Amino acid sequence: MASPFALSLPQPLRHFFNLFPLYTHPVIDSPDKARPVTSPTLWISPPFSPDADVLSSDVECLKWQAYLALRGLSDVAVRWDVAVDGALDNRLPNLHVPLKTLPGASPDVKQQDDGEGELLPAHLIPEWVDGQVGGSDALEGYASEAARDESRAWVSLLEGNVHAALVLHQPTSTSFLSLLSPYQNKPRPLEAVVSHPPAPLFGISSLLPLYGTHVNVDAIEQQYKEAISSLSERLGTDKWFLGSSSPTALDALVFAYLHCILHSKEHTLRFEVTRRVNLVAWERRVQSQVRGAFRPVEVVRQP
Amino acid sequence: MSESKLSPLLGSRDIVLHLWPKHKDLLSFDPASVAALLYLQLALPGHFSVAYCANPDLSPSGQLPFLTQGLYHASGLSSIIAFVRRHPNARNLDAGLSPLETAQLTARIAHVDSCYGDLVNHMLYSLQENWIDVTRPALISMLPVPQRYYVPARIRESHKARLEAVELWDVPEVEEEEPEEQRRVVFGKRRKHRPDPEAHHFKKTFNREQVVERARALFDVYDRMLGDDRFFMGNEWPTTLDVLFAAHSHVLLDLQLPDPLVTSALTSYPRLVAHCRSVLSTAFPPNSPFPPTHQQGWLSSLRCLIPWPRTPTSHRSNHAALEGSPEAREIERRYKLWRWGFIAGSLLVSAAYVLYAVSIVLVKDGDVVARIGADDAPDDDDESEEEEDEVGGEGEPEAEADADAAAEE
Repeated sequence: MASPFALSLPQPLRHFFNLFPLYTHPVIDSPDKARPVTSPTLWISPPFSPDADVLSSDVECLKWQAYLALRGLSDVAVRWDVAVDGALDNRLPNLHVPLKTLPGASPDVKQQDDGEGELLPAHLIPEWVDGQVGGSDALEGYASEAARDESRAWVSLLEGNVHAALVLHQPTSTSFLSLLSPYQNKPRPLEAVVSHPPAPLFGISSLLPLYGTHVNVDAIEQQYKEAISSLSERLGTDKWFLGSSSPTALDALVFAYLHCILHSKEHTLRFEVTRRVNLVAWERRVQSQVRGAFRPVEVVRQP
Repeated sequence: MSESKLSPLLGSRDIVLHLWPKHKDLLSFDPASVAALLYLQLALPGHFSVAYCANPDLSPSGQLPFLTQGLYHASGLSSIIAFVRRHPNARNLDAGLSPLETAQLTARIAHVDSCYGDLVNHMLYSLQENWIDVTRPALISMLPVPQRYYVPARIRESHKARLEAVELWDVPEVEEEEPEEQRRVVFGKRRKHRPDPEAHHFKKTFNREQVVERARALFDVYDRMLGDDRFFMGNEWPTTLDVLFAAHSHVLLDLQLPDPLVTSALTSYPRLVAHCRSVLSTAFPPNSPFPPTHQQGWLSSLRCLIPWPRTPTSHRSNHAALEGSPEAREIERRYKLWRWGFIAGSLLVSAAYVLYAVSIVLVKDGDVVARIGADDAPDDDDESEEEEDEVGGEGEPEAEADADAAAEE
């Protein structure tokens, strides 16, 4: 612009352009202001009773809540006013952490923290927790290598058979407003949970395009009952699953499923667990421990 | 479960197991079917027969394998196992395990079913080379003509939801048929090379190494558990876990796949390969006869094109299962007798009516030629006179005769 060879605007054109001046609009103040994050905040889906509880109603979110609590963290804030679409990958839970707690951040980055923090998806939470409370050993807290191998089997039993029964009996919202509103917390569809793909509703060789699934309800319920009875048998009178001396990721998962089953509206699901006294007692004991680690964040509305 | 609650005394006593058909060296094309076959062969040898059918719609729940005994049916591997356990003659494969071990077995079975099953489905349905060269031709050869054009693609699509959820789905959305050098010349101008539509789609990148790692993690667990024993749990006889694991290994090892991603990982564990062979040889010793098989015809192949909503509990078993038994044949014979007897009887009665109660007059050229039926039938209102025209050209002269008669009057 200051160069002597720069072309300048011819005079008539400048007069013409002056008829359309540049107008800068004033700053618009939005009522929602992001508060600086000072303590790690977990974004979860709303609890069963938002006034009285901090434990989420969704199994995924509750699993990670229990994981954080059982790994020894305390004073973690929770908030449930964020919709699912606002989360990373459209999946809650997310962990919003201040930059200074990030294990891999350099000191310069930590100093420049202006309260924005970093949002972590669920699969990065264990790494963060390792940075906070110290890394776990190769056995991941289990008593032996055989126990660790066995824990993989229990994880897939829970995430397969038990989760399928929960998804099957999830109450579907049938109100007109829920049909209109685009933001719905879609549960994991049944086809992704069951290991053998279920048959389509009208048969695989019919002329109509594939629609719906014909779910083998009896098979799922029978597998669920076997799963719960074997879970109860394995727990026995141990303090933590598989005889570990301290809580592990498997305990967090089992707690999440038991808590959701005991709060579900479906009678058959609940009955299987309430029949087993040791599971109920275990869940109650862990519940108080998990609940103590969280505090809800007060949602402040700007006038 | 879809089990009938009716008494087993109705219908035939034979157990028929319906499976996906054999393909080359495999016992059946689907690991669950192989597992069901091995389980029955170990628990109830000689008491069942096998029917290969490639139509999952015949099953009450829409999935193969399924089992019928008379009017009972059990669909799905877990239901079949539960059914066989309750059979009085069945050998309990899990006998001798403590309750704790039985509980662990349930968890391990779920683990193998989900993780190993996902890996096998990935190999068969997701890897493009395997699909084009092996799986799709195999499915096409099993299916009859109308179904073979669209059912294989539907079967592949049905696995998409699960494999995508576990990040084992890598099917190119756009068929990469055109190499980049050849661009079609449209109206003399070169067609613009469109940028990859996936570039802006935030898809998780698929990594073959991750699959091999996952397979090795699974095989490590079971290799450690097997140790140097012949079967898991250290028993002399295979348990349910052995059967399920060997079924999946059998499908991977004995099907020659062009892209051996997981198979090469499996063959690096010789103890697991030996385990698969020993389970198969225990189930099918060298000189034992294979259970009787019948190939099912596709009688209802066209009927399957019609979309029919499924009833949740259908007590009707497969038609072919009833055909073989002598009781069923007896019932069929009686029905046939009655059916044809009824038709013959009704024909007889109508002939008698015609002969004795009605007179039929044959008129040709205005003259009465013949009279069938009651000769002395009075001209009462009972009588119904029917004119039967001769076949052919007599109709016209008669009509003219009538017209003349009418014109004369």
